[in-house]
Amino acid sequence: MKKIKISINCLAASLSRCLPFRSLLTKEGRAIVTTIFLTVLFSFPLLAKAEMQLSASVDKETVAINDTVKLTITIQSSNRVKDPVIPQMKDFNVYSSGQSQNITVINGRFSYSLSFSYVLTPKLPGKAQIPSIVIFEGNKKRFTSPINIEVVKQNSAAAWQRGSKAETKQTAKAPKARAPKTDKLIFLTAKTDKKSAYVNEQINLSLKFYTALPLISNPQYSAPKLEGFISEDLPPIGNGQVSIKGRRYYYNEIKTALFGIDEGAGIINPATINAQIQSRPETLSNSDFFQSFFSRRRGENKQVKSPRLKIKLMALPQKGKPASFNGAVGNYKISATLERTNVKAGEAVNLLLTISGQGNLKTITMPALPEMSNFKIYDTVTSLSVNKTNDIIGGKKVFTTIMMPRISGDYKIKPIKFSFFNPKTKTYKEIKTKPLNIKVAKTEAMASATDYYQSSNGEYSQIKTISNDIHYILENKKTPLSLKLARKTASALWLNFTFLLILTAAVSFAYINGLRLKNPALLKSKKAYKKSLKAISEAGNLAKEGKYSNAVSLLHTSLNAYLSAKLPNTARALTIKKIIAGIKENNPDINPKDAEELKTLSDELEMLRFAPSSLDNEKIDALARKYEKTLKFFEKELK
Amino acid sequence: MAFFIFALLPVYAHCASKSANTPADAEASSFSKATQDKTADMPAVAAPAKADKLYKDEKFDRAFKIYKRKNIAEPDNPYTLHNMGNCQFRMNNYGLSVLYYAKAFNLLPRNADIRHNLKFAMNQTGQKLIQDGTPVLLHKLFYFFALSELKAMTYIVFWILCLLLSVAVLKRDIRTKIWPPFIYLIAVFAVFFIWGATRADSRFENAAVIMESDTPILSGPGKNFKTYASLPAGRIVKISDIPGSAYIQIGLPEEGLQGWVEKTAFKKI
Repeated sequence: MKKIKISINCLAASLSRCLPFRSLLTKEGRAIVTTIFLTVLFSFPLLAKAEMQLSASVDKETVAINDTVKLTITIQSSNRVKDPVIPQMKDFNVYSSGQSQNITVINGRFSYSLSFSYVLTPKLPGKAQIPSIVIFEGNKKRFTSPINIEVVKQNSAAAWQRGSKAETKQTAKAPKARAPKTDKLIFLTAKTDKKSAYVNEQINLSLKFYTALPLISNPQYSAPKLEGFISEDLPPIGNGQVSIKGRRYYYNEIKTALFGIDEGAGIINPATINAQIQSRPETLSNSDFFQSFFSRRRGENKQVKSPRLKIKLMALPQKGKPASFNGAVGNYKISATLERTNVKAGEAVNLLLTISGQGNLKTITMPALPEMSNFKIYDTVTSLSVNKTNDIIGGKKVFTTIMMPRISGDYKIKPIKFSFFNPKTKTYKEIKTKPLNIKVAKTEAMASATDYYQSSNGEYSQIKTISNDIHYILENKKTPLSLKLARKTASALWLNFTFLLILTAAVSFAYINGLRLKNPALLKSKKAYKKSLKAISEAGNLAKEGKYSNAVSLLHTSLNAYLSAKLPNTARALTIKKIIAGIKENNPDINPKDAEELKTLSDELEMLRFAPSSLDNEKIDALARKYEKTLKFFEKELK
Repeated sequence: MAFFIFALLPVYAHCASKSANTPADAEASSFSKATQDKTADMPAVAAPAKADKLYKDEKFDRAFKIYKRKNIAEPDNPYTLHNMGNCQFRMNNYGLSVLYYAKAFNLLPRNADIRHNLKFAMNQTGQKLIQDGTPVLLHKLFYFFALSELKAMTYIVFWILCLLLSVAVLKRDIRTKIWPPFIYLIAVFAVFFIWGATRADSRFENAAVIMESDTPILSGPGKNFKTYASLPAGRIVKISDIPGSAYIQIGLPEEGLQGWVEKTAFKKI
């Protein structure tokens, strides 16, 4: 590193001499410019390669034949990558032992860090190689470098010998048995930890390969075909020695975790192991196993199979199933955090939802988020870390959801619910996160252009709108009085007709009044008859009271008034002769006899007015009838 | 002249009442039918404060039910309709939110919140409250009074005119004094009359909101007629009802489209 730094400084010094306008710059200035130039120049290839970093490493480069190698593939990328493609290895059997994903989002940029672990068991001693492993980053292929491993036999043989000697001591006193059949000396067993399980509940399958015969090479294992299960390897491979019925066996154990997919029967078909054994089998107790194992390569092929197993897969109970249940089985915990609790509106913030515990985390989906209307929710990315401690699949799954607050304010994100079925207690359980608080501040580029806010340094800046929303509810408001009155008024159509009637009445009254004012004589003439009839009636009443003189006076006055009303001029100044003459003049068609009769009536009334002693009821009554008859006649004639 | 206008008044009143009276009453009855089952378990007197709190707690569905109850009891309250629109908007039912905002706007068009929310909801459904080229101030002025208010003011001016005319007819000596205010009132009456008549034919009167996405516009009142366009949810259309028919004639004046849609596809404002 120091050498590189010195080289860069030398290069900078020589480059600064070539700079244009170097005379304008000081010595320090030239050094700074040159250093910046070189930094940029050298960082281009680094930036280009920064897209993806891939490495494969092993925990040991020399391994005993009966030992395992741990292979770790580490990937760092800014893009989403696929799982590594493990090729068929001629020198090793490969078992997956877990994976770990870590996804970070900074300023909207994703960064993936993945780690895949494998356990490798060597097949043969000697020089072995882990070939290049392919990783796909989109359509691009990336390769790891091949890794050379040396497989040795010493440790294994020594270990074996130690075990062998101990075993020999234990079995020394045992009677020497007859050489049994090959099937009993080499066989494969399959066992599960449970015969029935709920869907998605973990079942551990153990396949054990026993051999009491020396093997020429490591056996070739073919995994069983599974029907109704998804599987997960449970490394490392176990091995050791065991004594069965007085015979010493060397065994290898492969464990697999199974998860039922659907209710019904799950089938584990036979696993197969192909092994090369010596043509003349010798029991392990009689010779050094590995000495013969590796020294004599000639032998015969032997295939052993495990039994076929059937597992009952039960459906999850319907009773007590929470609404938030989405198929998770196991035992989990949930937590949620916000990367930042103080943000500005329009800035992205990550909500990290972590589900951890025991169970098949791969099948767990993102729980539903509560309603967050003031946030824009973007995609969710998931990272998964699986561990297999004590042969139990578990780990944690982190859902990273990118959110963007739209409006400033203090918000509370409600608890996020997650539920699972615990096969141990056979009950459902709903768990939830704690509510999260977030403070969203206004941004410089927010709100309308007419509003202003004061920044920390006291300057006023313009605020720009970045998003809009509906206005809040109008709380507890009553109907405006003006609106109520308006609706009542508008519905009172009948009032329009009332006012129209008032107007009509006024117009009618004015019309009549106008007529009266225009021709008062005519109106007087029309009223005269009614007045005369009224006078006749009153005269009758006066006669009944014995006031004969008054009755006659009334009739006389009434007649004069009637006659004067029928003439344009007033009758007060006229004699009865002149009145009759005037009537005749205005009405030439009138009968002279009738006019004379009128005169006679007038004279009679005049005379009786001054001779009241000769009056009685009958006479008054006769006069009244005569007067009435005359009036009717004249009304008819004088129209 | 005055008698000619007076003769027209009942006709105007009929047109205006078709627009101003019907929606609230019809809405109340339709709500009571629609919510008979759903809100049967709710208290008879809905508490608006409770609904406000539910809204604040983002329980929009429950808040909406209480607002709906309040709307049935008090159909003329524009604020309740506004809040109902808010609930539907928050539940992403933009069609229903436009419907309730439009109802609230018809009742109280000068309220800034109602206007803003209607404009916002219309924008969400690809519509504009103010057509291009229309001055905002003119639009606000035109929609300052509710149609019922315009109608009421027209009536009141008419009543005053009737009384003034009656006095003028009866009292000859004060006719000259009455004449100037009478002329002024005639002008006011004419303004309100024309304004109300225009509003009675405006965009939100005798109109409906399309409730279903891709509602087909048919060329006739039946399924066998050709579909020549489709409407998005939340679209405001003018309607011309044909009683007894399963279809209704709609018009889109801006696009110059006219056709028939099923009556189940929209809700009347």
